[in-house]
Amino acid sequence: MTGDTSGENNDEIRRAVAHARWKYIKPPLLALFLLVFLPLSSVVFYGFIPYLTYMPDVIFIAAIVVIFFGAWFDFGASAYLKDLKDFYHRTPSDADMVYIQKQQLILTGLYILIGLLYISVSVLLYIILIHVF
Amino acid sequence: MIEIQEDREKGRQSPFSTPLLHIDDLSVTFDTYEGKLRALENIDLKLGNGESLGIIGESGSGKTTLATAIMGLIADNAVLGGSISFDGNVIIDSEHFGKAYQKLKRRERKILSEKLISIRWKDISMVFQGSMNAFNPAYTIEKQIAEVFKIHTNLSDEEIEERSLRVIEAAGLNRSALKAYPHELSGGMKQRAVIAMALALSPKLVIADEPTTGLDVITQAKIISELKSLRGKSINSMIVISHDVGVVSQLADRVVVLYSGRIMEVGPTWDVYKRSLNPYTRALLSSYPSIDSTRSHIDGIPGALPDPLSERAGCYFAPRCKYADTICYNSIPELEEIIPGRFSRCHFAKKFLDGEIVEETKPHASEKKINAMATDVLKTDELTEYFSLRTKTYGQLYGKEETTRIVRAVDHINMDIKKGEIFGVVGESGSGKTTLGRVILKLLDATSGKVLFYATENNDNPDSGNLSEIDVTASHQRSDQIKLFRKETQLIFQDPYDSIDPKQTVFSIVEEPIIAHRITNDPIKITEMVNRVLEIVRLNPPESYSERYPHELSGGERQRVAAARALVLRPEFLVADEPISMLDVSLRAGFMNLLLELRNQFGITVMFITHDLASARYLCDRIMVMYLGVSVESGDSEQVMRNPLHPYTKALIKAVPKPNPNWDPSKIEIKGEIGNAIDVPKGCRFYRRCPYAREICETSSPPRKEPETGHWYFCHFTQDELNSYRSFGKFDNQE
Repeated sequence: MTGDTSGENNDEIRRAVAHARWKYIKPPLLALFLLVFLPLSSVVFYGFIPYLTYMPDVIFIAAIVVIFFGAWFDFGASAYLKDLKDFYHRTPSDADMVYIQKQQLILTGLYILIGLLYISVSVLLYIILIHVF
Repeated sequence: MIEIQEDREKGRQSPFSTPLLHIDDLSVTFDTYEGKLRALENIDLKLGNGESLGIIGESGSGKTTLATAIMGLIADNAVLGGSISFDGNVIIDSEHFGKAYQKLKRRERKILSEKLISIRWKDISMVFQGSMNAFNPAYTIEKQIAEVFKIHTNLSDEEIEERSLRVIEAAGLNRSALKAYPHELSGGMKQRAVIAMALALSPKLVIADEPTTGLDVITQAKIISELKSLRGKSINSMIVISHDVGVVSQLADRVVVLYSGRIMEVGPTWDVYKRSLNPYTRALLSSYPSIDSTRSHIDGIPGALPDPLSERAGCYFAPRCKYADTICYNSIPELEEIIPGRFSRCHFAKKFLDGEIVEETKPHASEKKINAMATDVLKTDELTEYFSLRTKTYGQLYGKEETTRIVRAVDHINMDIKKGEIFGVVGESGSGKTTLGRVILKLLDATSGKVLFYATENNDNPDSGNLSEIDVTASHQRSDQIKLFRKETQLIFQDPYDSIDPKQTVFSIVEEPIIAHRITNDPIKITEMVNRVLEIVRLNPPESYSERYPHELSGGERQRVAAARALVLRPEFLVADEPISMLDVSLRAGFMNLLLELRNQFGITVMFITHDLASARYLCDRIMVMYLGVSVESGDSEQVMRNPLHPYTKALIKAVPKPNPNWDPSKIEIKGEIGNAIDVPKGCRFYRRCPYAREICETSSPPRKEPETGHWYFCHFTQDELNSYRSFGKFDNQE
């Protein structure tokens, strides 16, 4: 019954990483959802044209913010290194640093993709504006 | 004692015949914007071949300046007087060093620099103060040791590699340490590596500036043992600088006592310790609480070192000396040879020798007995604090396998602290003392277990007996109960330089708790409260301190400000987290006496966290010894010190360096280092380091044994069993 548990551990780590990534990318996705759907209430009062006029610009600016945020934010890496030193009395090895930077790069890539999603939505709204109205 | 000293002297040359090092009338004055700062005055010293010289004194007495002067590392704004000769040749003089260096021609500077390079490390090497930071973090230890050989020898790469290996092994390190980066080594290993680097070229003289400061007591004992064993082999002559009299007593044949840049006393170490002929030496030695002797009152040294910038007359120590007379203020005492080999700078040195001046022994200030039936102020029940990086999002993202494991910082601690008691928590760094203090004060949320605090309902009449129980762990941070708890409990931090805001005046620092707890808005009342507490902590007169900023205060005064801030609301319970470890020797006794007075006067209960067993013995009524997050022994402080039961406590007590020729650090019954609280053994936490360990210790948790009332320990073995193991000599002291 004392078989190799490294596979199970790897699965567990993989699941934890996926969960953490999801936690980090959830806020900008939620923000996009709110940006698109909250101002829809204004449609009742002002109609679709003002909404479609302003929102592509707002969402495009938000896309730039999201991309830059993803590029600059360390996604908790410095806090992790501090905790590692304080609680585990361990200094990260070169391999650890490469792993941390890889995770940061993946998350930055995800934020860029989310930024592109923002831009796509804004372009879509713009296309609706010029083709439908 | 003197006979022992004479034995040790045998086979060594007298410093007075052919000295290896001769410091002749050395004076160092720094030219600063504020004026001339006299760091050293007329130092005359000789160090014999094969001799070890200790230098003791308070911070600011000129110990390190003397060491750097010997190495020729004196700053350019210094004006030198006198000279230093090494092996018969003048190496430092007033014409080439300090300010005079700037006037040298380029060619002369080059010649001087080459001359110094040929002496440094080859003839004189130094183990610098704070050697934890002496290594370059970007290079391996091997590269840094090899650098010494590359600069000073013509050895080939293979020979350098072989020599590096030899010196690292001679310093008691494994060869794998060579390939390590500094951060990969523990404090003790780094210290050994620094010593190895200093011994690389087998210099004639090694200067060790505070070689064990900042190390844990057990590591310190091992380093002392290492240095002792290297004497006569790799180390020929040595100068040991330390503020710790215990360390110097173990490593030095002769001792020099420095005060404000002047030599106060010189003589064979044990003789000076046994019958010092100078009031400053007596005051300095009596500032240390002893782990050996019974608890007698220690005074500390009142006042502070004289301002080195000001004009001074007479004996510099006179304003702080309890024996000072008119003559002391008017005439400078000479450094006289009172008896052969014993020099003292005091007008009354002969009276000390003849026994005409006798120190009176005062009763201990903490003789207030704590009633066993006294009410509890604080109780913990199976208190546990585990950390795991996996609970945090970034921990899940970056953590690999090992971070899934839990750090057991505090593990099922049960304790009760009685009203008016000083309760000591002792152990090495990493044993969980500070975490325990923080969990108790709810600065960290406990993983499980309970902290119960009993607050007096009527603060005006604390003896009324009405107590309200606060379940600290279960209460919400913003609840009224926690507000009351915050008011009744305070914390004094370790570092007075970091724990008080440098931008605030003393008044604003101390008034902060009054404002935070909305005690009163009346400025007159606030001023009254602040002044009263400043008087209590002896910052008199309070008006002269109120408007000062922290940088205008000494370390001891800063710690008193921190104490005043903690006491202004008259709390019932105080956690003092290593409050004296950053203070100078002379100030420690003063602060400990202050805590005792506060307890006696106001009945404040104190949890005193420390790694210094001697101060714990001096101050505490009861002691709990912690190891890797668990308590291993607890009892009355005298019981624990005189009759330690747990092998860890026994080792800790043995590791404290004592000014006693019979103390042998190599006999410490402990292996390795404390490690971390992640991979804790299944059974006894101390199993891996315990010389008495058996199979049962690895697999099953030790039971609690209580051979004396109120004095218990966690171990599988009784004292008789431990003693029988000892008599069979089944120890392996090697790491």
